[in-house]
Amino acid sequence: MHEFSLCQNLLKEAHDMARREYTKSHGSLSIDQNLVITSLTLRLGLFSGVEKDLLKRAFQVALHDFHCYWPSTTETDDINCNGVYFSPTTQLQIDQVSASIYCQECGTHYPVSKQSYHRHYLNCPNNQNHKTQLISGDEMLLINMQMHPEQASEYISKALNKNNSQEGNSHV
Amino acid sequence: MCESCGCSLPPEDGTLNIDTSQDHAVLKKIMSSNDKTAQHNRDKLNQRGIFCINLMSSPGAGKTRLLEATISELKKLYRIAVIEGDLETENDAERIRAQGVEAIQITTGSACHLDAHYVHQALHQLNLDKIDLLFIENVGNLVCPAAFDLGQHASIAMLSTTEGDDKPLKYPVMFQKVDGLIISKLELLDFFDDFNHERALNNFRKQANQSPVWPLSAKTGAGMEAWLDWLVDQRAEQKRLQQSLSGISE
Repeated sequence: MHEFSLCQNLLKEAHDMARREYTKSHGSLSIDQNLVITSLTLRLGLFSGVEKDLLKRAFQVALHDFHCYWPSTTETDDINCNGVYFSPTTQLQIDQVSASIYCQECGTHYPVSKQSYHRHYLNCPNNQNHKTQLISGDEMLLINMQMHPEQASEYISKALNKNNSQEGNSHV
Repeated sequence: MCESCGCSLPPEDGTLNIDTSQDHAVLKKIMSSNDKTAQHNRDKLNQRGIFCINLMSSPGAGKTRLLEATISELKKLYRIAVIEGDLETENDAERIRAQGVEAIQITTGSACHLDAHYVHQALHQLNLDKIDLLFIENVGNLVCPAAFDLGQHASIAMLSTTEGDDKPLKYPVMFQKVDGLIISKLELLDFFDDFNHERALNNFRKQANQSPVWPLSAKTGAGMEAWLDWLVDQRAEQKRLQQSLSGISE
């Protein structure tokens, strides 16, 4: 469906909240430190309408399109990045969770897996009636971020040294 | 990819290895920017007692035809406006304008759905003080529109008798979420006799959806009454809510 625009939203939300979340557990960053995000974990419900493999492919494109890459260059060091960057190898982990229904007749909650959905859809698995409600299953949540601070100057000099030692490799 | 972007550099010196000590547990809805704008839209509508419907179906199910028929019946009662979403053309908006009501056309280019930001822009083009009932005709698509809250009060899906009656099973997310289902083009049942509207209803219920279902024909008017009555009730309820809200703030 619209996996690319979802990835854009995801990157934006993660970028916006990164500093606040980091500060919560580690205190503030010093002024010459940047925050580098290396992994994001999403929780997707069975009926989120998102295709996991498509999302992973779209994520690579959206990440390149986001323009807050680490290491920062004059090109990417946009004021909008606000000292928070994504590693070019940022991982997208996906935690797929089942859905649940509530049957009014049984007064019971039942989990819904892909398999059970294919057997009897969202009918009650116990008495096959329609008097059910979908309780959960459409989640699209960012549940974990991996990030760490990087000294801006050190990192760039490391990258530059490496670059010089591989002279002639136009791809680097 | 790795050769051109420089991403082969960092892992070698170990600085970007994944390591759980860098984990930060968070909880954020990915759609929260859309949801926030949707709620803003809904608040604006609530302040004025406007009842807003998001109408969704596959292309060609008869959304615009249904709106024409609905408007011609209700325009004596209410001030109506329509927001039309299409990839291209003003055609649908012009059909609605021919009914003498205001229509804003949103052309999405290649986007397959409307989102709350599009609707927010469209709301700015309307004089909301002169509207009682607002319809949003979404882009014809049973997949993407289901995921985007626009700020509506009710989402309605439409299924025409020229489509399969198993559509509710094929597009679970759409049919799980809607607040009502219209089965349209009843007049064609004689020609498309492999569509069984009992079966369609049954398949809809299999998505744990107890919402009302209106089999109708916008062309002959058959079944329209129940749909119109529902709209009248909903709008009256919305007006009551607005009055009680403004009573509190005074």
